[in-house]
Amino acid sequence: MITKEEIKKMSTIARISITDKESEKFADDLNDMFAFINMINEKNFDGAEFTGFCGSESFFRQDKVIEPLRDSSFNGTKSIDISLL
Amino acid sequence: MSENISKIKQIHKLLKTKQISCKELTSKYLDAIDKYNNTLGAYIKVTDELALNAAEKVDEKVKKGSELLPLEGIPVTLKDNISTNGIETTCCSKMLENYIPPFDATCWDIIKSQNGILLGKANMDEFAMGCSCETSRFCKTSNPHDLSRVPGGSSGGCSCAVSANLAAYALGSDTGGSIRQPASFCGIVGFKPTYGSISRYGLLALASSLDQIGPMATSVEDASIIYDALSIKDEKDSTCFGNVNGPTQIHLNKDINGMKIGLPKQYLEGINKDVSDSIFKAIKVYESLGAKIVPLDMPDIKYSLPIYYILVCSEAFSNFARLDGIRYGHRTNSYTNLEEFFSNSREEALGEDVKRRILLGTYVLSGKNYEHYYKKALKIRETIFETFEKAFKECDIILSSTVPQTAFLHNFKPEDQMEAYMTDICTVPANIAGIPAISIPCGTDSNNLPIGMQLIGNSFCESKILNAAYKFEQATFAKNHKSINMGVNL
Amino acid sequence: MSYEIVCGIETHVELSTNSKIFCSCPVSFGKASNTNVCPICLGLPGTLPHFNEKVLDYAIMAGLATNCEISDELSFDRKNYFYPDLPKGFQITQHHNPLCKNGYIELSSGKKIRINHIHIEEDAGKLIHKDGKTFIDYNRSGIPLIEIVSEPDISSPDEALEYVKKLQHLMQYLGISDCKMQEGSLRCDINVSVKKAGDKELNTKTEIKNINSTSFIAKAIEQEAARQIEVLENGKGVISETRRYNELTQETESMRKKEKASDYRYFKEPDLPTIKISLQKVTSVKKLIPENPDLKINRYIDEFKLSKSQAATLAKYKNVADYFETACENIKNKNFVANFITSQIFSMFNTESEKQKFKVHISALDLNKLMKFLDNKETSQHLAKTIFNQMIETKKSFDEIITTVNTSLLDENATEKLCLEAVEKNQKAFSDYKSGREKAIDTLLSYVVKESNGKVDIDLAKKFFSGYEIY
Repeated sequence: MITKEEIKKMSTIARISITDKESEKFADDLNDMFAFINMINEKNFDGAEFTGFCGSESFFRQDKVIEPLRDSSFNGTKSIDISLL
Repeated sequence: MSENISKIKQIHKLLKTKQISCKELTSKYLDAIDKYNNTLGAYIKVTDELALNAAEKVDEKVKKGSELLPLEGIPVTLKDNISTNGIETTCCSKMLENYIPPFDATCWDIIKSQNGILLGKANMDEFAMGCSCETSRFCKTSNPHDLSRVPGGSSGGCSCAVSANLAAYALGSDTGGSIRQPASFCGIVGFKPTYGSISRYGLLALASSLDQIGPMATSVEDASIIYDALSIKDEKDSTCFGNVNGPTQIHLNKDINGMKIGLPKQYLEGINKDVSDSIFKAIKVYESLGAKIVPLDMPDIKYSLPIYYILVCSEAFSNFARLDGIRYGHRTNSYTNLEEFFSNSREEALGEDVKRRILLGTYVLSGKNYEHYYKKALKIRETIFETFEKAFKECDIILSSTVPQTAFLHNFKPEDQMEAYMTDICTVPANIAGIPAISIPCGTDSNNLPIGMQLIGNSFCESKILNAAYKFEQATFAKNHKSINMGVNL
Repeated sequence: MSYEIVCGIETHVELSTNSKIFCSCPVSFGKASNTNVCPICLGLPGTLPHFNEKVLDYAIMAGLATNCEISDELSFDRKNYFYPDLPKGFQITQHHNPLCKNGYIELSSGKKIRINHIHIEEDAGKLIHKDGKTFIDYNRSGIPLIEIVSEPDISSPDEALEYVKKLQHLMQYLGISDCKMQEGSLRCDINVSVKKAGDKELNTKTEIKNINSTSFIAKAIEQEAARQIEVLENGKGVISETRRYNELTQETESMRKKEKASDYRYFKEPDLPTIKISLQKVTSVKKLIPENPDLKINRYIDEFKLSKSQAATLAKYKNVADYFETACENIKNKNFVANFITSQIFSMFNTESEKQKFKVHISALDLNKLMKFLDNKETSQHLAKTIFNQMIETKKSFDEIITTVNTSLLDENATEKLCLEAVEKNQKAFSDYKSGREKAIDTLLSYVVKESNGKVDIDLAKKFFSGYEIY
């Protein structure tokens, strides 16, 4: 059972501020979800882990410089008190 | 009408024979959007100037008599999680309400370079989390077949636009069924290709190891044309192979006599009666075309769903960490320290569903949970992958319904949460295994709502499922096609 | 009660590739802030990493040069945490499968400091505190790093300093990093704990950060060890924390409580597939590794007959060593070449940094020609210096200068005539020399060199002087 204290802890780690009431609700929601997710405990799965497909050296990039477009990278950035030099 | 239903081919014919100019065609679509979008809510942004400029370029080419590229002059909409340089890309979240990317997603770049006509950005569930388009923070989308119902999600705006003839095709994204389910609800074709065949560069990631971009169109042939044009190896996406088996269009009309179609018994359980009747009728059609039905038993397939939540929420927790209000996105005005800056910005701008999933993701990666949930999910994922590999030794493609039901009403709250989760049972496994799957219309229910049938293929076997889908479509279009008297009639 | 210091060091080395690790932005120090940035290293939504192959090459070089085993697979993980200088909210690093494992660095005492592993990761941006505000510069975001993690084998501040200096020298030698602590291309986090002499179990350690120069390493460890001993002697326990070294007070100060590894929620990076590292790759990188500097010094002493200090000076910087070796190719008297470089050429530089850059207008091949000329006794040492200076001033090549300068030496008769004159004019010096004061010959030699404008063969003159007797 996930407690609302655990939810508060998770919300700190995930940098999402939540009220006491919200942490209760999220605890209920997550417990409902885990009631479903815990079906994975019905069976043992001892095989290998999925690691994605294996790439090759063709996925590497050559060490060449492409001059960046400075201004457009900051389109829409608002400068207030945390300003970018 | 029954044979040549490819909208792309129709448009190209109209342009080449000068029955209509691209500018006129584009204006027709823009007028239709103007007329219907308030009711339907498919678009959250319309890019008329951009569209008309591109149309002019196409008209010049037609004047010169030059050959048109596969997607040239075709009006398209993109789901609003696909980056478009200079045009807001919001994922329908307050967090990115004013975010304008300074670069193009590769898939859009390809369409742009072919003078595709971008009509606008389509509505979606916030950050692609949802199956009804109702969690969008900006507008509500309705199903063109019945305005009291949802179009599906998360690519609901795309499916609505294509279904209501407000775009010739759309590009959506699919993490657990987000292209196929709305396609099924809206009576169109929705295609999720093999993971790694279309570049994800520029797609706002939900779950990086599951997301795929795919076409949503009114015909299988269009899906094939779009797939062939976009499935190019992109060096900017290290998980992208492109199309390793060559173009799919040439295989569409191949005879499917002898094709083995697998039918997992797990996919025949818990389906709405109208839907299962439709599926059985479809099976008869395939048998009449010479295909052989192979019953399959895939008991582990149900575990796709719980691990889907574990994997999606974990990857989403990480992918969304960059949404901190520092370089872009929503910034709170109330903070006294750095932690409050982060927490309040995210709290104010992220919707409840998004927060819930981030919290779940944070939880399953913490401490002992990592072994217990995340690593176990990876082991189960490998098992699902092997289950499909084994199945494809006995059959060429797998058939199922796309969703066990048809479009539900707006604001529908399921009584049985478990039942609600299980509605994804048909679509999610293909994402878990990274294999291609297509949804095509196969009838309507007693409320005249579209029903979708799903064909799943082995990795990079797009040609096989497109072939099977095409043959079915050709055999049943006249019967199954439910036209909507909206939008642009070509 | 005697205590032992137990110390392990995590060294971050910035690799001197042309472009960043996951994007094509340039890697250059000192540029205006936020100019070497792009959507990828800014973590804009929808961007994906694209791995720079050179980073793998350099990391393999570092591993081979420190005697590590190289993994047969390249894979990455995400280290998730929030900080303004971390654009994606996670750092792409290697947690589960570091590239290199189980290496060592040998100190001059023969003691081996074991290297637990070397892994590849990306750097974060830089926070700049100014005028009560905090600014963020993302130029550094995405610069490739290797982190070299030692075992806690270091047992004294001096060993720690030697270890860091050896690593620094090695990385510079490989040409994979300029390893300048002041510029941040080499950073050390030092883990220190103390235990009672003879105890097997280790105590709680603290981590010291913010050491900006090698000259502070020993002091910081000394001070922290002393602080911990005091804490323990007072019956308290050492708190596991991060401390920063304050250069002014020469003390460590508490920074923050250390987070546990699980708080970073590591998981495999889904945007970068696992890639097999072939044997051919490792073999081809191995060929790029230059001779180990310690072995080079020994070779210079044994084969070239250089003194220990000469050898160390020339072997210190790889580019200087390469220059020297080219310049003394096929030369019998390599000692002279060595002296020539360390006196004539080094005297042109004012700082250590200039020495390291070693910008000389005369190519090693050209110097080799001059040295051959001298070796074959076609000119004198004095004239060789003159020729060299002319080459520096006029920027002309050896072949061009040699046609303009009369380099021929005096023949035997002329030399003898001049020597006799030198004896006549410097009778006191000559009698001193003959009485056994060897240094007195210098006066005689100076005379013949001056009078002949450097055209005398010094060795021949020495022969004459030693053969003369006082009447």
